[in-house]
Amino acid sequence: MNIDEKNTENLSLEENFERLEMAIDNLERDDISLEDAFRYYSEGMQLLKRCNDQIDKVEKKVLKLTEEGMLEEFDNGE
Amino acid sequence: MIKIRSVYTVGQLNSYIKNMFTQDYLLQSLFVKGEVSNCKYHSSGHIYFTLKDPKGTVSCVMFAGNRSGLSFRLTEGQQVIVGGTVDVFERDGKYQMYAKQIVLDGNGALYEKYERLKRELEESGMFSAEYKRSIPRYVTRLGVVTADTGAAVRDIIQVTGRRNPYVQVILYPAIVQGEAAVPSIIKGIRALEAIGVDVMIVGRGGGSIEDLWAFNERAVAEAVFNCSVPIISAVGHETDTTIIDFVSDLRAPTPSAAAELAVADIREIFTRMEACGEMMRRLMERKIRDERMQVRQAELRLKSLSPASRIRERKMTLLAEEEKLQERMRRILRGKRHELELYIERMKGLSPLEKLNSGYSYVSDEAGRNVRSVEQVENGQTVVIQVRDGRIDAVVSRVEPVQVQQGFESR
Repeated sequence: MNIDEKNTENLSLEENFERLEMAIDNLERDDISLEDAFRYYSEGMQLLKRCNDQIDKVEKKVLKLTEEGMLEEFDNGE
Repeated sequence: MIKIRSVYTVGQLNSYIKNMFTQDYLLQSLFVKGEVSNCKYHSSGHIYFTLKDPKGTVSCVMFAGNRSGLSFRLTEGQQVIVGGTVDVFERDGKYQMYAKQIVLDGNGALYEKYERLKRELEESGMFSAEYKRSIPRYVTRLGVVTADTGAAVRDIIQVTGRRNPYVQVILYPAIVQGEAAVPSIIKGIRALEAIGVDVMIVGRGGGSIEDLWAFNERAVAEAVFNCSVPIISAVGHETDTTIIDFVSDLRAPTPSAAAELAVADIREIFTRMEACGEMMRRLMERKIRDERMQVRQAELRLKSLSPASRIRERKMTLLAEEEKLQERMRRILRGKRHELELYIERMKGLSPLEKLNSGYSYVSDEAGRNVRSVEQVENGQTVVIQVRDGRIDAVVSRVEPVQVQQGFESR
């Protein structure tokens, strides 16, 4: 429940999404206090930002792993 | 002359023979090899064909429900091994083979090997669902073990690029057929595991059973099983099932399907993020609106309970009461005034002046007592006569009583 207390720095995108949905579930509760609502909201927004930051928006070239364990660009003849 | 002991019907004979067949252990499960002829794919899904060799023929049928036992298109002239049962078709008095599995002959040995290994690994628990790793929903590094040429790698790269170009694809160019395939595939799996990927696709495009054989080898199956990274197997086409399909964490029917399963569509991720943000904003707005409304309601209640408001309220009540009082008073006055007018009218009717006006007069003695009887006066006494416009003092000169009838006086 208390997702703010856990370290969210090293979570995967999937885990961050799970936490985000948890914050939303909490926000959806009718009996939630305004303070808690603000807390979950700002947490959710932080998680959302983190999700966004986690998507490294750089298009990747396909790499090839050589026999020697080196990575080099893969030219698939296109 | 023939001596007839007992006579049977055709049906009885056929069912007797059918019974003999069903009780025979061998005929319930056997493999027969031969050449395919008269092959017909019926619209119902059943396949009818004849199996022949130089010594003879046997009719065969593969029912639609058993089609999974056939992974290629059956055609005339093929050398095949048919696995199934032999039974009697009573209507025609013929026996025929009911095929459950059909493999190309020459592959027979491989097929048996496949079945044996599959059974062994299954018994050892390597196919068990409890060992399956879940495929991460959002991968950033995708490992691919397949040949660096051909349709498989092209399809995987194309599908990945289309769904999410931010995913890093790392290819291990493996040899996927022939003698060198097994060590190459195993090395690829281990190398990608070492370098670190979120999920791995291991496979190749379609081919003959021999071409796909490396993926049916125990060593490859074990490498897949022991890999700590989740593996999606993608060997050949939809109908090809290899041993690693059973040990992998997920089986994809084709390499491009594997890429679809491995890589989440980036647009879906963005849509999901937008939806989450929108949801939170909406919920927060609703919460604030609710709280504000509650504050407003409390404020109203508080105001209504304040001393100033109570005084105002009392004042209002007072004013209303006063107004009511005045109204009542006015009504009473109106009523009384009306009553008074009625009295005046009545009084008017009763007033002596009125009587005087109409010619009557009022007689009294000197003391002012009304003279109503002859007995009240005597001769020489002075009486006062009141008339309309004044008084007359008169002296009584004669008194004469008159006989008055009873009843008249009371009128």
